Formats: sequence, structure tokens, C-alpha cells
Amino acid sequence: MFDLVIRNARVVDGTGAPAFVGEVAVKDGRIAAVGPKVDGPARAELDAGGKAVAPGFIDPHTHFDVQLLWDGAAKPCLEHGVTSIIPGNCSLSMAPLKAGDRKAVIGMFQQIEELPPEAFTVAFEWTWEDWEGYRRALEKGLAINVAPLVGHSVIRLWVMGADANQRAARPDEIAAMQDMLRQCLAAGAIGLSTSFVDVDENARPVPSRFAQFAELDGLCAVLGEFGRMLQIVPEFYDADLTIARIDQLAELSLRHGIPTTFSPVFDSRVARDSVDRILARADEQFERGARVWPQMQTRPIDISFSLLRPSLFFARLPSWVRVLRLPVDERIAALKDPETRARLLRDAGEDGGERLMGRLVARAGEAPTDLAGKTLKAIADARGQGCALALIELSLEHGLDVAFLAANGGHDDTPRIGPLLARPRVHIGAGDGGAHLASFATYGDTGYLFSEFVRASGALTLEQAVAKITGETADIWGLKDRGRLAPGQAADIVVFDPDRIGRGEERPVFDMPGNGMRYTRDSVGVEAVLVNGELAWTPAGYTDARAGRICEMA
Amino acid sequence: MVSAEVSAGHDGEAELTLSVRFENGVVAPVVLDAEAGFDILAACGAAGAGDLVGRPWRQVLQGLYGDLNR
Repeated sequence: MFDLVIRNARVVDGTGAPAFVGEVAVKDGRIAAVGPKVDGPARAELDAGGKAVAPGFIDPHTHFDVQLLWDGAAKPCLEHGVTSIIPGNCSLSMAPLKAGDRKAVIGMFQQIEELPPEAFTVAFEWTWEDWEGYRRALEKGLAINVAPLVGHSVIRLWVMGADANQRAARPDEIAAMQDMLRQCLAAGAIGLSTSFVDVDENARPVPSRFAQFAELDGLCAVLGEFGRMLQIVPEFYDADLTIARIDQLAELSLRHGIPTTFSPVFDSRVARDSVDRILARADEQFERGARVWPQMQTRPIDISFSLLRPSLFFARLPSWVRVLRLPVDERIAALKDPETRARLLRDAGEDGGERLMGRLVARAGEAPTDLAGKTLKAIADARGQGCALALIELSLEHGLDVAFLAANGGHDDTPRIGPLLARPRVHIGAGDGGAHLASFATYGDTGYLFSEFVRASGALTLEQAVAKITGETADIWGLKDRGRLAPGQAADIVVFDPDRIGRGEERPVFDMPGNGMRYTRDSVGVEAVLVNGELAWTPAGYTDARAGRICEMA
Repeated sequence: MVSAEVSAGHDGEAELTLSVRFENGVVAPVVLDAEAGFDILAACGAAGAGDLVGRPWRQVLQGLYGDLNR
């Protein structure tokens, strides 16, 4: 007898094959049967109502390493249909980590993920130092599957201590790092992450950035013993440096027989050919036999700023640049000064700044509650002011701490980005879930893939989009028994409405430890999510199921 | 420098993307964060991003690193 049969389903199986009307049976946490008709009794049935039934989505770039210790669902990932996540990116993980080094790693996590201090002091108990111990701590309450990377920076810290962000490693230290990486991989880490970009809370480069090539090569030799992934953050702001890193990754991939991936990759209106050149170089390296996967995000990038910190948003306005560079008390005085203010308003344009600033949106979280989400034009009209004047006065009324958002500042050209996402050698990911908490929402990228690039632009078919974030992702990373609806596969299943799936509006919530704020998005059009055969989420909310696992590797 | 545009960075911050024409004719972008961008505006005596157009790349380097002959 099956545990569950999902009937009346539009089966999208994660292979890219055409969808078909059929049924999916689950038994003992695995897919037991898939076909037009599944014969046999079941303890429970779920009528999908003709909606899509697909493998659970896999998010390959997250930073939920800490959140998972108190929230085994990695909220709101599950409700968006994501059933497996890969944390530990960008050289940072929570193990291996000696007790004496916790402060250093907390600083890095706070810088990159913007977690509140309470996330490290009250939300969980530090019970581990090695990877095995961290894994045991995670496994206590997982509702989502986790395939964790181990971070190069923390391995370096373990071996080199305070010297980790000071100098290159000696040969004996490289050997010790190799041993530690080997232990982590044997205990369930799925690969290694490193970064050439990130900084800690003091703007110091993270330890991985002090590694010379011999060190990375030595660590990749260990990855080669296991056939595991190397993830890197290249100098993404510079196409030439990124291309040099692609070549380096290709050498490591070929030499050690490992897959590699880099992120972020995103399009910019002001550097049109950069992404084309980057993807072309990755293609060339694939032709040589290397595996160098560019990870590209789906969501556009919004610019966020307030008058509290100088932002280049105003770089085109000379008088604004001058004022914003002043120390805060002098800046406030200048913004109040009638003569300076007149210059600012003159610079903003004859329309009172409407063209330049009218579409800015007051950000929930920082703006007064009644203004959150409104455009500056609407706010200015209500105040009977021009847009620039309203921006200045509203900011002054709140100590300059009113954030505004310029939506779609980059990676927003759908007709251009859709075909890029559809390329066979582009890995859809780089969502950064669990990071940038207080800056913007990193959730709902999967919904946006369907709403923008399947329904709105048609750059991908439903089947292609599902395959990209399920079967193909599992193959790229080597995840065992995930990513497809086929007998024997783990029963990670999402039921969604292809005509509705999307992402909700960005909104602030105060659900981090210590009532810490983060931006989030609700799911749209997702109707049920199963993890290893257990119903984990429905529109009624999260269930008590804790069926998540540390993913096994193929 | 042949253009200077405000762009969106990975972390949601506004950045300054300068297009630089090299001696061999190649035009390539250079992306600067807020700190570097404002330093360069100051070093070049530029009132705004538009003032950077036409300036030599050397001034950008001086803005970032100070006196290049040190």
C-alpha cells in the first residue's frame, strides 16, 4: 500500500520531458510510481486539481548555516517550493570551528548575512567544533534537506589561527587543511567554497583571500578524491578578472576531475558585453572538458539607500554629492540651510525631482509605517511638495534614516536575461537566501523564474524551467536521488499552479532572534510541499514534519 | 574615461561604472563602490559623475591610491 498518491496532476518530472496528466505515488519517503495511472491503494490521496506536480526545487546558493540551527525549515524557502538548499557558500560555514575562533566567524557572518548579534548568543547552543558535531546539531530539527558546503575561510582559521587572514600558508599548513577538508567531506560536506571578494566586519579580507594557488590546488586535490564541487566568488565587478578566475577554475576542474561553479553573474545595463564574455569563456572551457558552471540569479537588483550614508545614486547631481559627503551633523545642517537646499532642488530639475526620484519607493522597515511601500511621488503629492523637497524633509524628520528603493537597478532586462537563463550551461542560482537580511529579500527567485521567464516572456518552457532548478541542479552538484520524479527518488515534491506561481511583495518581518528584522517575500501559487514524503507546507502554514535530511551524494 | 554611469551592485548598493578607453582602442568597464566612487570624484575635482567623462584614467588611480610616484 502506498503512503500517498497524488492524483489529477500535471506531472513535470524534472527531466525536461513534456508534462503529462498522471499520478505520483509515494512510499517510505520515496517516489514509488509515476505514470498516467498508478494502480494500488493508498493511505492518503491528494487531488492536485490539474496543477503542476514537480520535484522539489533545489537552491544552490544560500547562507542558512546559522538560521538552520533554530529554524529547520529555512523559512521562507519551503513555502516557495524549495526542498533542498546548499548553504556554506562564499568561504563561510559554521564548522570546523574552534571555540576560540567563534568571535571571528561571527564577525564574518554578521558582515555578509547581516544577522543580528542575538542569532549567535541566544538562538542555539554551540555544541560542536568539528563538522560531524555541526551536522549532528543540524540534524536535530530539519524540515528541509540540506547539502552543506564547508568554507575555505574557516578551514584556514582552524589550521592557521590568527594568521589565517595575514599570510600565505606553509606546506605543512596546506597539508593540515587538506586533512581537515577530507574529514569534513567524509562527514557529509558536499564540497568546498572560497571567496576572492568578501570582507569581514572590519573590512578586512576574509581568510580565503590570502590563499595562494598552491593552497587552492591542494584543497582541490582532496575534492578530487571525492569528486566534489568547488564554489567560488570571483571578482564579479570586473569581467576580465572573472574570466581569469574561470580559466583558473577550468585548470582545477581538469586537473582534479571536479565540478566548479562561480557566482554571482548578473547583467548590467552599463556594461553590456560583460556577461556575454563571461558566459562565452565558460562555454570555451566546457568545450575543453572542464566543468565551470556560471550561476545566474533570476531576480532583478534594486538599489537601496538613505541620506544617512553617501550613496552613488546621487552621483549625477553635483550639489547632492557635496552635501552627502559631509559628516552627518554637517549634512543635516546643510540640508536645513535654505541656500544649500535651494541648490539641491535646482539640481534635481525643473520638475522638482519627479523624473529622477518620483518612482523611488519608501522602504518598509525604515520608513514611517503609513508611508512604507509608497512612491516618493505619492508621498510628495500628499505633502504638497516636490519630490526632492519631500525626500529631504522626510529624511530630516527621521534623522536621515528613511530608506528608499530604486527598483530594477540592474539585471532587469527580461528579453535579454531570459535567453541567458535558458542556456544549457547556465546554472540558475546565486539567490543568496539567508544573506543580506536587512537590505533586501533573497527569497522567491524560483517563483520569479516562472512568472517572468516562463509566463511573461516565454524564454523557457515550464518543463525547462523546472528541470533547471531540479534535475539539472542535482546533476551539477552530484546530489543522490534528488531532482526528479521517478521511482526510487526521494519524494521531494512541490504542487503549484503554473498560471499563478510567483513571488509576493517584499515586506519586513521581525522573526530573527532578538526580534531582528529581515526582508522576506511570501510565495504565490504554491499549493503543497513535501519533503521526503512528508507534507511540510501548505497554504495553511508549516506542518510539524521534520523529514529533512543531510543530502547524500551520488 | 568615455562614460560614467550609476549602476546597481550585487548587494543592492549604487555603484559607479566607468568606461575606460585604452590606448589600443579597447573600451572596458571599471566598477567602483561608493567609497571609491566618492574618493575619485573628490580627487578629480569632479562635481558629479558626468564630470569624469574625458578625464584620464591616471586621475582615477590617483583618487584610489594617491600619489602614484610614492
